[in-house]
Amino acid sequence: MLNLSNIYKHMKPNNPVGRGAMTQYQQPQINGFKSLFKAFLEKSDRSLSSIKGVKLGVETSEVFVQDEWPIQLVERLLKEGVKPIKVSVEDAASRRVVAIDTSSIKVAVGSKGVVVAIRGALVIREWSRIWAEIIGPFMVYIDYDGVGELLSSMLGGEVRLDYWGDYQLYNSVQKVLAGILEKRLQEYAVERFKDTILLFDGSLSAGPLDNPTWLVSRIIDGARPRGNDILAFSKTSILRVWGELITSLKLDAEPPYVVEMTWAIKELEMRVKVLGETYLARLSAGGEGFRVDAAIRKSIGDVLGSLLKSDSLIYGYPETLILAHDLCTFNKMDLIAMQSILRRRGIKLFKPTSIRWLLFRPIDGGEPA
Amino acid sequence: MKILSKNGDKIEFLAAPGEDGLRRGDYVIVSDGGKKLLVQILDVNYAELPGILEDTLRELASEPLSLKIFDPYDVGSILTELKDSRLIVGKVRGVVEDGSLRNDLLWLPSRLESRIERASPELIMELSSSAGRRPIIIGESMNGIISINAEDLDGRLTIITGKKETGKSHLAKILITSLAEYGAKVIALDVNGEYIGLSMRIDGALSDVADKHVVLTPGENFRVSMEDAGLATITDILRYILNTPATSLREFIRLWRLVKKVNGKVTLRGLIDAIGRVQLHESVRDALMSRLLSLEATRFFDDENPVKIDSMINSVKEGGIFVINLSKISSHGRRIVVEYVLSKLSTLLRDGLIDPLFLLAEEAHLYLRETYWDDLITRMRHIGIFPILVTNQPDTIPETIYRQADNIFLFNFTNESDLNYISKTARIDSDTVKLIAKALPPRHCLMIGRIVNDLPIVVKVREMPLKMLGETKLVFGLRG
Repeated sequence: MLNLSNIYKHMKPNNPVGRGAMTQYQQPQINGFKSLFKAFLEKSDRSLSSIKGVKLGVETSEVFVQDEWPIQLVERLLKEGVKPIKVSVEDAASRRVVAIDTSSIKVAVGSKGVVVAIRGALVIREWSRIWAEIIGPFMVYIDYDGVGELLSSMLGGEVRLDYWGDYQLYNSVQKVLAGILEKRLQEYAVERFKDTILLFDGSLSAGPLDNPTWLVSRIIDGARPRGNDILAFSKTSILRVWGELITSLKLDAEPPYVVEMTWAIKELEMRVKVLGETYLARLSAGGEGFRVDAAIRKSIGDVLGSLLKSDSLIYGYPETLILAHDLCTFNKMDLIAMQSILRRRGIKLFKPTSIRWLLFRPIDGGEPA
Repeated sequence: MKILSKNGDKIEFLAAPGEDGLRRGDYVIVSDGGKKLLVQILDVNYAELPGILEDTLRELASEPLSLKIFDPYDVGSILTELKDSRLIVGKVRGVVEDGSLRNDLLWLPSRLESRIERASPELIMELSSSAGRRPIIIGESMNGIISINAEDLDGRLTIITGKKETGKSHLAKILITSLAEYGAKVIALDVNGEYIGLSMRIDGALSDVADKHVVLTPGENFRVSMEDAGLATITDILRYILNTPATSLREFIRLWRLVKKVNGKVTLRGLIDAIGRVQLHESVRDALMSRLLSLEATRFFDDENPVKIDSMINSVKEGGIFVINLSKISSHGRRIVVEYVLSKLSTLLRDGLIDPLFLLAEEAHLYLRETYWDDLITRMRHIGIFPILVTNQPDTIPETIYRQADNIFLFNFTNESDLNYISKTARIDSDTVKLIAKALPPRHCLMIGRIVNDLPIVVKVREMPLKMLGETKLVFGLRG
């Protein structure tokens, strides 16, 4: 059984910068994650116990970073024409910035299911202080029968996600699970912090299973009364698009500035609903351009101004978000460590020549029902 | 621990950080079925892990960050272990089958099924020992007592080498006292006066070898006659040590015979008088006179009350240590004494007047002429002088000596060129010499050669409660 009493042992000591009492938001909130993911942990632990003695294959050529990088968004802008909105840093207020990102990886694959690991990271920058909270990795065995229940348990079991079927178990489940973990952490951050700029990875588009509209809405709705502003940055640089925009539209502005493009996105993203507004943002002169979705109480100029005053940019992208991404991303060492845990739990791992071969001709003759 | 790879006689293991506890020189046994692979550990490194660079860089970059981690499956502790995984490099010494060691390097134990465990000191002793019946306890190794057999030094060329203050002389004392206790006779050429206190224990009592210990100080209780030295030896002294020109040497030989004929015996005074009287070219007279006066100044030659070295050696029946104290005489004087001693011992052994003996020579390059090195490992060994050479400057001993050394006690060396020099010995591979010797702490040595049946063993040399003499005199008193 999973022992929850000893899960904080790898905490590094806090390195406080400066003096004075911390606000309640600065206090470590790690203990909160235990209750937040209680249902999921119990469910995932049972799922791993259920495959004791089963042989699972391990992939040899894994893509270790899973990101969705949509890039075809703004061709229409070229047709319609846009005006840049200037971002002013000088008069902006300094604010707390919290960046959230998650990552996932397939740890082992069987003929009926897959062991997936997910991990999230929160990076909190509060004036001169910066710290991070890493949540996970969580490991779970997912098969067709239990997938809906597992996904629901990630949300605390309150909502049953039983419309599984649109996604291929082997190809998409890890992304879906990471998406739901991300939403869960976003919701958690919204409730935990006040008067904060929350930086999300990706967009505020809702619709697919990992981005249910009700959940994205709930996060956005929860943020506003607590004075939080949400900015979702797409990791994909849209430099090419910017180049075309600047050349074709002759945007007469020096960075930092943004271009409003909500109307274009709403027309393009037919299957999803975009919650909030969408912008193309170019925040530093040497930096690249990114898509930014915003659910904010103030003007986009004010919020981005505060972000620029409070956080550093690396090639035009917020440093806290880069850190969050780095801290949650899996590498080969993580994979080896997690596969070692599976072995310790009695799961037999082997290296098949290919996952396709495994699926259609499993050498273990299939796992027990 | 698991086998990772084997290439020739080099084998690599992967081990978890807390699992190894091994030191360079330790032995492990890899068992599979009835066979056992005997492996000596040469080095322990971090294992090369996939993605370790990326991971370390990430750690480095996030160092200023205070991290709080919620890790339900304790992946972090496994990661920590993984990052600290060890790559243990070893040398296959052979396959143990039916209690004996074979150099069957073609046998491969199973990577997954074989059991890897530390070899017991008893097994190593069993495999490394010869058929001797005179054990000399050298010290401890792998939590057990390690000894060699005195018989494996007998008739052999032995070298003790290592940098300063690593314990060479201490080991030499263990060897010669043990040899003497077994009845062997040892001549010790003592440059620093380190061996003159062997008859005393630290507590002031007499040691076990007190009755076998004879200190001979040239010019004091060790003086010899010209007649006893003989024409050949004196000619060698004049030629090699006092650089006498060939013409003068010819005249000296003529004079020697003349003095013998006229006086009936040859004395140093008789030779000096003859040089003053007989007809000689002035330059020859000057050359010979100055050299003979040099010999006289050493006070080593005494034609009135000489010591007979054979009588002295034979007077000690049950083993003896004859320390020739060279610490009080000049560099020339040392070389003259050694020339005499070696020449005399050769003659006595050849004539069967004394029994074979061991010759302990510390920093022999200080007093041994170059032409004697080859003699030591060829002619003298055949007639019964078995050298134990001690040095902290390995390159002062010719390369041929290392190649033909039967036994080497190797203490710590850090200098690469020293290690390269020693690694030319034929009885061990250079990897073992370089990797193990570099890491040896003081008082630890690597035993190589016949003494260990060619199974190199690292040993912590035991203490010996004998009075230490010849320690460095300090300006500020005791160190540490």
